[in-house]
Amino acid sequence: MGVGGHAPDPPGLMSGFDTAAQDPIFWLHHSNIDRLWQAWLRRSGVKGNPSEPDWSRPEWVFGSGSKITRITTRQLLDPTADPLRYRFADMPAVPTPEAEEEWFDERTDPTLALEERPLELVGASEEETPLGPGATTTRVVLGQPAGPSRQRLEESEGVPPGVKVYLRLDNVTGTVVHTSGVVVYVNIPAGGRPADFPDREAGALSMFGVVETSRRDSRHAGTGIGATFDITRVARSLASAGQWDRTKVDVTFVPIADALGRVGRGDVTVGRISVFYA
Amino acid sequence: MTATTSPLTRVHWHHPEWLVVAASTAAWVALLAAVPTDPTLLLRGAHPGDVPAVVGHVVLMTVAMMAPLVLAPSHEVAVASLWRRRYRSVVLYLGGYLAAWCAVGTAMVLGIHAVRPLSGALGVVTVTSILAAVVAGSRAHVVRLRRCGATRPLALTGWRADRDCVGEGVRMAGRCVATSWALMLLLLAQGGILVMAAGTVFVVAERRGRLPDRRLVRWTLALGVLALLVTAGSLGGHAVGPPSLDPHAGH
Repeated sequence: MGVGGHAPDPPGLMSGFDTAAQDPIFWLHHSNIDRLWQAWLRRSGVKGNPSEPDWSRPEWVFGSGSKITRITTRQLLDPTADPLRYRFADMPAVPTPEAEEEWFDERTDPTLALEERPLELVGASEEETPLGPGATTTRVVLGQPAGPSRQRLEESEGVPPGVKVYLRLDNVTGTVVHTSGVVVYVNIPAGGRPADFPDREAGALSMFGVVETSRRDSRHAGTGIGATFDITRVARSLASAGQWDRTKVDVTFVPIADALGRVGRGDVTVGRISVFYA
Repeated sequence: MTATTSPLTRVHWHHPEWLVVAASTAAWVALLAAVPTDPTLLLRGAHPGDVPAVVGHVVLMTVAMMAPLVLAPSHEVAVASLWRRRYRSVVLYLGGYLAAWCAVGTAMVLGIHAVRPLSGALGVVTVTSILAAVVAGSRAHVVRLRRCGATRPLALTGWRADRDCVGEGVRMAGRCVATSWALMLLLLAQGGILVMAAGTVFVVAERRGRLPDRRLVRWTLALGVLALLVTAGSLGGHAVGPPSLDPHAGH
């Protein structure tokens, strides 16, 4: 999802950490994220919110001067209780296992919980990838897995059941963003239009926060943002068409144009593109 | 890959940073091993009496206190490495990090030793406590604290991967020294295992964001007061401080 606008236009309120909450849609947007989180928690097989203190204890500071509010993640885990007291107008029905299987490719297997599987890096880009005004493609060379995934992958072609494939983007940094976000595709054929291959879309990377987290200040380390996409479904789809190559993956970034079809100029780079099995 | 996965396998799979825990634990055990023969080590610094022994003691103190600060980064380094290189990457990263810290720690102890005759043990601990509190209260300290979470891409294979792991460890040590040098100075000046343990808990909590920025000065001062009390309590007419280079000092 891209929000807030980008250069050359004056950026919208939603594009910046410090101004986003001044846009009324911010409240609808985040209330809906809370609603989706609650819907996800109701899925079968979901164990609930993370229990790690690093997740629940951090304190968030809002406001400035004498009007400061401090709140921890733990205080907001139940959106129906104080201080949020949300009442969602509608909540998706709890999906049946069959529906989950259809959407998530496989049913949650209690003997093969996701947490059991270690992530195993099988390939990464060696150089950083500058994101240009047009589509940008980087090839990631993949090696053979040597960890717990190896046996399952050796037993069959493609992406066997029980194996997940992840695409991770690290150190996405920049001082000026050229777009509100980029759509990330996998294995677009040479000369092909990415928009013609929606089944190869890994996800969208929002530029929200790229500039702020690229600064070295009292809130950020200056190393930008990161994102991880579960591309298992894409990889399986490609494998079924005989187009999933275990030795390489081409990753294409397509900037999202604004309402007038424009993309600005920026200096955003992706530090590393990695592929993991689990 | 099933629910019957052994705990050891799970640690191997999910927590390759156990090496860091092992290194720190070994250092603490080595430090504590000398306590039965000299219980005063809990309260004050050792007096090994020669340069190799001083360096060895500083290395133990540094590994014991500073290795826990890179648990999460070590995990990230391992995950960002090919499976067959995970432990190699952690060892290289930790090696670079600890080597840099040990060099700085040794220099600090030599500096403390040089000024101690001028100001006395209590004077050194007092000055370093105030210094640590002033540093903790500065805006630059908070900025440096955030920088400790910085990451950068590592090469995947070959000598470049080794170089990147060592280099990242050294860079992490640089950020860590820039953040915690004053606190480390205080802990090395006091030298006792009890204050070291309290300082380790403090610095780990600080680094993991468990202490709100606005309370850092308060907690640093509390640690300084503890260091002063322990130092004063342990004096009893003996010199107190970091490992001494004087072959006739102490034991």
